[in-house]
Amino acid sequence: MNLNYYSQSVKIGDYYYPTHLSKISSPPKNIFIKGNLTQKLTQNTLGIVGTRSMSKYGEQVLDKLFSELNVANISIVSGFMYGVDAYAHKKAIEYNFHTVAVMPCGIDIVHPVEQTPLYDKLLQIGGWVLSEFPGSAKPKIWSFPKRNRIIAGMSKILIVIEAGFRSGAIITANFSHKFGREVYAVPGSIFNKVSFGCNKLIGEYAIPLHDVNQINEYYDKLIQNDGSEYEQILKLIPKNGIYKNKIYENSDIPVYKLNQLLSEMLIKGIIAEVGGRLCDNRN
Amino acid sequence: MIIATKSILIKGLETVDVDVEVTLTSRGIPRFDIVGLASKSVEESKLRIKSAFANANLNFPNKKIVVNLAPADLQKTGSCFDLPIAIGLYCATNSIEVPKDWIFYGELSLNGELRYTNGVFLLCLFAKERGYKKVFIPASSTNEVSRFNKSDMQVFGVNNLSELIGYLKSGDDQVFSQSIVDDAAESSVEPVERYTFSNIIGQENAKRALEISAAGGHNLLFYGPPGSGKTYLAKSIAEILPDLEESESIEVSKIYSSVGLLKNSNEYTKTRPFRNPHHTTSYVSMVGGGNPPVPGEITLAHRGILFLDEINEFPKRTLEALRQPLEDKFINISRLNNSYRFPSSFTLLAGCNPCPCGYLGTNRCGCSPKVVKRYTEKLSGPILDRIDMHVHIDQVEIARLADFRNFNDSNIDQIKKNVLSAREIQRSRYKGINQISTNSDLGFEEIKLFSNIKPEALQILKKATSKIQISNRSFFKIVKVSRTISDLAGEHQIGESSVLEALQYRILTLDPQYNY
Repeated sequence: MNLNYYSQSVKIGDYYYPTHLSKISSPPKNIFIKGNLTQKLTQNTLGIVGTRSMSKYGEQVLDKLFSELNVANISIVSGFMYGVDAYAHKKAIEYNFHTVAVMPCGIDIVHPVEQTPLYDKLLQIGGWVLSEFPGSAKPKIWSFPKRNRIIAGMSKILIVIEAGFRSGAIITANFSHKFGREVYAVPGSIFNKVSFGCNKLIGEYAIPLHDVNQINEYYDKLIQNDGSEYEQILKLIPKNGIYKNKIYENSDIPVYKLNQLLSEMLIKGIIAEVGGRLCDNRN
Repeated sequence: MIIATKSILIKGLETVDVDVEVTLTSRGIPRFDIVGLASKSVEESKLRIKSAFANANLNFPNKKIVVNLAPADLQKTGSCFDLPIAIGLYCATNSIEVPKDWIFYGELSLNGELRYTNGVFLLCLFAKERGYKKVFIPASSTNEVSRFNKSDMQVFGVNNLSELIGYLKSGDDQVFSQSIVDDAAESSVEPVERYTFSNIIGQENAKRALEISAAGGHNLLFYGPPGSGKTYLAKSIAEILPDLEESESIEVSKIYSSVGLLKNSNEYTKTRPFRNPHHTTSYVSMVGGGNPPVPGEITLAHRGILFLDEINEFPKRTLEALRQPLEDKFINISRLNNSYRFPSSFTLLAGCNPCPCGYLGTNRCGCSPKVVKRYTEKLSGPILDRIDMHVHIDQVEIARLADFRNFNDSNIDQIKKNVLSAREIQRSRYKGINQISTNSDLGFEEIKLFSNIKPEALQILKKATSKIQISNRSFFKIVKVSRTISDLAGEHQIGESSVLEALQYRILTLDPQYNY
């Protein structure tokens, strides 16, 4: 299948250079992107990594995750390997999320080659294939950890679905942790080999993922409208809470707009409602 | 000789054609009988007619008189048969034919004058429909017929019996001092609003809620401490409601005419009704009833507002009785011999306190959680279910009130315009769909068909459910209210902003356990 997606080299500082990747220590100076470069969709990135030999449990977790994920403009970053990676890309395509496949090889090679249909599909729906390596460089044993570093760098937060005791996913998680990103791991059975890594991560630094809203909320708090209107309202809310009416009275914002903002802030968890009174819910 | 004059019987809001047949026989002892299931009020017309004849200098026939009100198997009530019987009697005595396309209606007083009679509007509608040419009604009732055209029929406002007898003899309509009344329509005076939007200081949220309620016909509940202005706010909705449409105006006039409330005014040709029954109002006067059944408050509020202040104080039975009419937009009242159907398509506005003392949430409140629970539970369930918007009202700061002399909210024209255009959008959207005229009437099926909600807006709703408690019932209310908000903004689809705003009007319970 001949797909006319031209590859592009993107320098650090360029518009299409992934936002969060530039924030890590020693980011790659140059990366290559294949795909539809009309929209920059690397703001709300969510990294999903895991084992190649995914169990049924991992599949169920991903199904649940995607059906409940509710974040505007999210893009799913993964490594295009078998198992968890491939399934995460598939799901992202199914739910119409933007998705980025980070390759351990040159951008013109499909690795693993059996997944060519997925590769084509991913490009078709506007996803990106991204790599540090040019042209048709072959995957090497050392290029996989480098790939993992890109995934960790690009992702705002990382979720480890299933991972063996020593695996690439653990390496990615360690990178993420080093970069100061939040790492979530899905707890699993202690008898399940591919949950060992996750359980170990939870023991170290990862947050156990038990509810998709943990993820939703994380992104919600990131969304700032422009902040100034929120600030205006928050100024009016004392510590012990206040009835809505007092806010209407003391604010210059028109009431319909104010109602919208209050709902927004409630949904984002910036304020909370207790017994009819609004309280500041920030930590 | 048998003379038959035409009249009508008003049964609920329906009109039934009645033939008043009069016959005189010279043989036998003189007496005066009315047959055809005449009730007491009809029986008594004998004495009024006798006296009226004497005062009009007419000879009362000293013969055996039988009056038959046909159809004979229908119970006849009301004083409106005085005039047709009197005319029938006079014509029978003097052998004058009464044309078949004349219709008579009205109550006589002892001195021969005609008194105001309920239901003249219904009579004229009936006469127009059936093609009667001349309609004779009491002169004091003529304000009700200003809507009818001269070309449809001639309406004569009769002052007294001798005036009408003079007309029968001469055929000269100059005898009526007040003959044809069709130019009175323009003289209807704009009612002076006592409760105006522009006088409300602050309470922006409540005003916005009223705007939405007026635009979409949403039932609305205000709750808050006493003296915060719930009643004033609710009453001021009259100012922003759109005028009655022609067809609605006819429905309303029918109801008001049948109970005699159009007397001395034609207020309801344009203005929407606003009914404000006290909480001691009985069950029957709320939903209608009696024998024969008359419309209750819910019917009098048809196409307008029913405002229940202190809704918690209403007896449970009265409130429960509102359930069916709120849903069906009509009420059926069944009696042994008949069943009456009265329309009741109204918007419910209610006001209540959050607790028995009214000050829940402030230091002044001394109500225990148990008392508060009992108080609020009175409203819970099916009635609350039918109220789309809940708005908490609080006292306005005195500092703002102190500035009252400079206060004038000039927004009112814009609000009126918004409401009108939103209603217009709804009318064209729901054209041809039975029972639905506003967004508040939407059922589940119609929400699916018409709500046209953006996926992003739906996402917000989904998200909101995790943060704010939204029950199944309030979910669809929020959709309905956001539909109206979008209509007010002239948006084709329900957008995010509408949903976000609508979320603020959902059901909220003040938590008595919360320590303020």
